[in-house]
Amino acid sequence: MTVLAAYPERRRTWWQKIWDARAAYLFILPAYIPFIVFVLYPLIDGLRLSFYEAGVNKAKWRFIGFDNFVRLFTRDDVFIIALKNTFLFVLIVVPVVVVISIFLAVIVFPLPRAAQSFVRMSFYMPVVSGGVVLAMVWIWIFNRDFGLLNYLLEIAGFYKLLGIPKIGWLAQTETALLSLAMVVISWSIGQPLILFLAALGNISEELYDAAKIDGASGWQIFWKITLPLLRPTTLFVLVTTTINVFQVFVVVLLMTLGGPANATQTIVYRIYENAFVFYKYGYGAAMGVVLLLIVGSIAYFQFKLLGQEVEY
Amino acid sequence: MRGKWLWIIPVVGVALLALSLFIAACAPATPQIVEVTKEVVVEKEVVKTVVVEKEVPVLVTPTPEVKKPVKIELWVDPRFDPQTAKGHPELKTALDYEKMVANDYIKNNPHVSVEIQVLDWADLPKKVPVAIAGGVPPDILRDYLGRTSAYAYEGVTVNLEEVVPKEELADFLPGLLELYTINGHLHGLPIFYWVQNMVVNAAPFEKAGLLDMLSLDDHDWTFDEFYAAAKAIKEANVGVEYPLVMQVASEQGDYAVHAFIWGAGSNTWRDDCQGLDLDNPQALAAMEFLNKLYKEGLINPDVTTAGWQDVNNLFYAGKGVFMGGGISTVNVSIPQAQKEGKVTAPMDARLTLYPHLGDKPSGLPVGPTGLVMFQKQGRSDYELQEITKFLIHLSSEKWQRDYCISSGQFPTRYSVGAPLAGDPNYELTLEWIKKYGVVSMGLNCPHYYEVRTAMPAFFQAMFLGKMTPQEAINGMMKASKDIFGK
Repeated sequence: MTVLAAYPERRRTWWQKIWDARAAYLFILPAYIPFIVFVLYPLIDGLRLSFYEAGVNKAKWRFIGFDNFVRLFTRDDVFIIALKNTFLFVLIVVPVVVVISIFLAVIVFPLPRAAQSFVRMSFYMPVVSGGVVLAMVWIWIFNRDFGLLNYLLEIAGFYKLLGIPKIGWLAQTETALLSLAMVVISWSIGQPLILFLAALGNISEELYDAAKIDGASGWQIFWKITLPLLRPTTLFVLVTTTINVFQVFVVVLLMTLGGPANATQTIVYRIYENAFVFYKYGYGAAMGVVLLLIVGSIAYFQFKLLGQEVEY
Repeated sequence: MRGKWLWIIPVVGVALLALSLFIAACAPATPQIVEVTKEVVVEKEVVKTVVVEKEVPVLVTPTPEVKKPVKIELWVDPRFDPQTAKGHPELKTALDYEKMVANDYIKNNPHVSVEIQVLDWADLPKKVPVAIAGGVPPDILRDYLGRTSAYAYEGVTVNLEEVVPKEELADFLPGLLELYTINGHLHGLPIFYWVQNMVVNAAPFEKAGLLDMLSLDDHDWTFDEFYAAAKAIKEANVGVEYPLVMQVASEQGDYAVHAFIWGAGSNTWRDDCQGLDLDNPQALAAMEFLNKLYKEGLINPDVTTAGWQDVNNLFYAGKGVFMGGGISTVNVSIPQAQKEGKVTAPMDARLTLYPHLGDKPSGLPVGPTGLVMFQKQGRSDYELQEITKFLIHLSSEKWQRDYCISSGQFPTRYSVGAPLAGDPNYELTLEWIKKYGVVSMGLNCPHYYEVRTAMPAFFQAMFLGKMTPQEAINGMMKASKDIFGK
């Protein structure tokens, strides 16, 4: 019997454990207070509000149970369209952003520092410019009569070759959602690119040397070594990009207002319309709860699928 | 020992954070809000101000009655900017105009102070409802009937028939007071209204020798005559590409579309205000006509996404010759655009009526702006009385006349008469109202804005060929029924 075993460990209660770690908790409190006030409390109150018929007059608010949710899925055709559009938007944007940023990172990583910095800056500029500025610029790029895109396509003979009239990129149901996707992709690549570049720097050179000695091709090295070791970063980028893209709003508000013919109607825009245009706060909150459940479920499955560690 | 006291550091950090939050929360209001009374105090005699603000002993000579100070919060739209308020060249901003009106009251009522906020058009429908829901609405709001009626249905406005003297109300046009009566209560005082017409640029028609096609002598033309004029001007090769310029990207462009529905002889809203009333052959005929115009390239191809400025730009560039508008378009907007160099085509803007399908033009759409008073917790009867008096001042004969001259709109009081008498467009519009009456736009119907916002998607779908005109009508009717819970 060891000396230590003669003195069994004293059981500590949860509050004793918290008291022991009080310095740590107090250090994170300044970050947690705003989180509680501006995120957690509104989240819980929004959940509560979703069970109410709530307009501008607080005195008239009344509890209606699940009526808002029932109405969403049985009587609100536009919400169903918004749901479909949002899923489609995510399915287009997220894979493209992840693939392009990995591809760019792998190409840029071996370049000299100056070149790396230039590429990083170029792709990160849209991130810091802000969605509003970028949306205004893209509205002009997509303009049917005066826009840069149609001007370049005309010079290239695109319309003449296909024998079609000029495309109103934001004015046609077939192209409006794709045009918005292009805009969102353009400003979503910057951050993942930075993360992938940093992650590539953490992969040991010895693994690549060993693979080359074994005669592995470039593609095999990428597929068998680089990509698996980027998995944690890929998971992070996938989850955060999915969450962000599900909440697409600025481009819809500024560029298409959900049109044409609801072709770019999205969940968050629908929430905005109901809460701030129609003054139906409870109904808008119900949509928010639905969005929360969708995004939460998808994030959970992404973690399950991609969350395994990779070791060599 | 040192580690034992480490926890003090974050405690101090949290305390500093809490202190900064407290200071930020107690900070004074943003510069956008202006205390008019400060300006008055500077202009007025100090003695008088001292009498009002400090309780002084009784003087040998009798003092004027000292009234308890009242602060009134007034929120307004940005209508009277220096471009529109042409009768006041000394003004620099829309706020200056509102201060001028408020000062005119305060000079005779020094116990009143007015805090004015000029909201921009995008903020009006958002900031006001949030303020109401948060329990901090303004005392008085000046806004469009389509929005104030929603507040009335929510029961957050003061019933003005209970506070405004009957002799004041007797001076208002009864039809307009009726528009502002919701559930038996007068929720606002109308102070001016616009009338929507069609604006035509006659210059290209004159150049092409087609002026006679515009029916500018009697402004009475049918759908077929309009179609013929539009086709002829497009084919005349004078630079006109899309004769009729309009937008259905948002609900803001709906009146230009509804004008054809009214012209065909249909209502847009039911008389009992319980939803849309488009399920009839006349509305279908109007939709089919618009669809035909679009398919033949007689409407701008970006109609589904164009904004107001895009529509104006097409008109100013001479690419379009017909667009929705009124007196202020012809008297104010277009001349201002010419001054700024935005008008690049020969321009001879005239007011005319929308075409019709029946035997005469339809009534004209009329959109009033009014003043509403919001209910507020803890407001005393005295304060209510003072706010009402200020509200009456804002809607007085003197200032209505000024509003109308400044904005090219029509007065709502008999005593104002015809402020723009002599203006040919004004006289013409008055004549049309007398001859053809007005149409209901549903402004005072419940769920007006929700229904109005649901409609553009169906117009867009129709123009893009995703729906037939009948399917678009069916879609709008279903949306209307869903909104009304039927």
